[in-house]
Amino acid sequence: MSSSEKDKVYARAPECAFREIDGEAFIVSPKTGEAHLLNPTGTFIWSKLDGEATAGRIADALAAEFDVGAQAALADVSEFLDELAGLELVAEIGKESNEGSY
Amino acid sequence: MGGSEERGGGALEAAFEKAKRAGLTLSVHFELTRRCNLRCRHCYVCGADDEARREMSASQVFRALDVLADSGTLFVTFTGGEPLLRGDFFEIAERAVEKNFAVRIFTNGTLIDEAAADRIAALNPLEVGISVYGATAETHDGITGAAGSFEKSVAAARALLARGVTVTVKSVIMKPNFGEYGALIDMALEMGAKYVFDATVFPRDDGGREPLELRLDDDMLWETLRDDRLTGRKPGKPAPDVCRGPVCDLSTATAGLSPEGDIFPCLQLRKRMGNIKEIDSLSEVRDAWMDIISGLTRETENEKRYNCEYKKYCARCPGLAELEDGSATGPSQWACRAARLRAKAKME
Repeated sequence: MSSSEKDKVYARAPECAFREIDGEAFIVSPKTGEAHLLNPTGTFIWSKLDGEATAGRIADALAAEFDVGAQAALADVSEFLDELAGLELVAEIGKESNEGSY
Repeated sequence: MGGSEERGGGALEAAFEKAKRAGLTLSVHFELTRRCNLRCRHCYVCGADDEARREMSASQVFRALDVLADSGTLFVTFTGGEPLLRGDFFEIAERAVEKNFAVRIFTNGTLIDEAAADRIAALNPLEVGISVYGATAETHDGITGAAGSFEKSVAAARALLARGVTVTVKSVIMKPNFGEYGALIDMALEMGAKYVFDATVFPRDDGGREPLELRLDDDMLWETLRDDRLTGRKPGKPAPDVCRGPVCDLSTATAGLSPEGDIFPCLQLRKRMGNIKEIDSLSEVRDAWMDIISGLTRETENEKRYNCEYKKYCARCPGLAELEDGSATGPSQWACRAARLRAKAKME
């Protein structure tokens, strides 16, 4: 997984309405009219989308919570966020810069 | 491992099933006011003279939304009366969006000018349902009792559609507009709107039966039951099943709220379970709720007349049965008429 994938920052689409039902996020998009029910892993990732956390930080949290390897967690997070972006439920809003300041 | 999502109608159904199991109320119809600027001949809502004084204040509605959000409610439908008659309607709707509700608005559209359409579009509602009762001003205005209402309602639908809002034209098919329902479907589709039509006319909430005179006669009802654009039947396929069990779709997953904050299983079934001003969570009325639903289910299933030969064609509404025929668990003359005709259509 490239470092650029790790540094991406995503945010939930602001128009999406959602609630957690028995540990699973239920999301409705007024834009597409579609309803989506996430599994517990997806729900965990969704709950971390605060508009500041990078995919890498979310993957670290996922690895700790579900006791999986860091690489596998990052692959899962990146793939899932790509899928949600395709459904217009999240949008990439930037990248955390690792460059120096001079 | 791996995040995944289930999508579409399957996800919606699964979410409602999960909500029922978890005891959550996923969807609430919130009657913000009984006041209305139209006087539709078929309307069941009866407002008192001091209606505005009886309504919850904005701060009480805000708190009600907090209680619903904390109770797991996702869908909130603002209805009335005419909800936009409340001067604080947009503050309420904006608050609902802030609380992450999926918002629907049912309105007659007459108060939606260009500025209001902008504000509604900014809410990103899931749907705005606009009541239209004819394809011509003469028919629609004749039903609403308000000259110029057709023009305003249709203009509102077009203004919202132009802003990308999902609009559903909602109508009740009755004797006065029977000859125009086809043209109204065409009009809705031409505008880019969806449509939901129903031929069920309810008595007034106070028991008044005047609206029932507007109901379709058997020949007209027969025609609507064989119209694929109304039944949803696909070519070469049977009509979708209409039987929704002894108590319709009643469950703890859906509820109705009155302008005063009274909580009902459904706005058509006014069995009061509590008041939202007096509770911190819908779970506090869950026992009363379960008692109502299980009692209705048991008594209806034991009702010999419910288990008749037309049962599978029966779309019986317990609220209508109570209002019109005196018992929520007994037969509904309207449902019986429609079920017999559906069975006849099936045999053709």
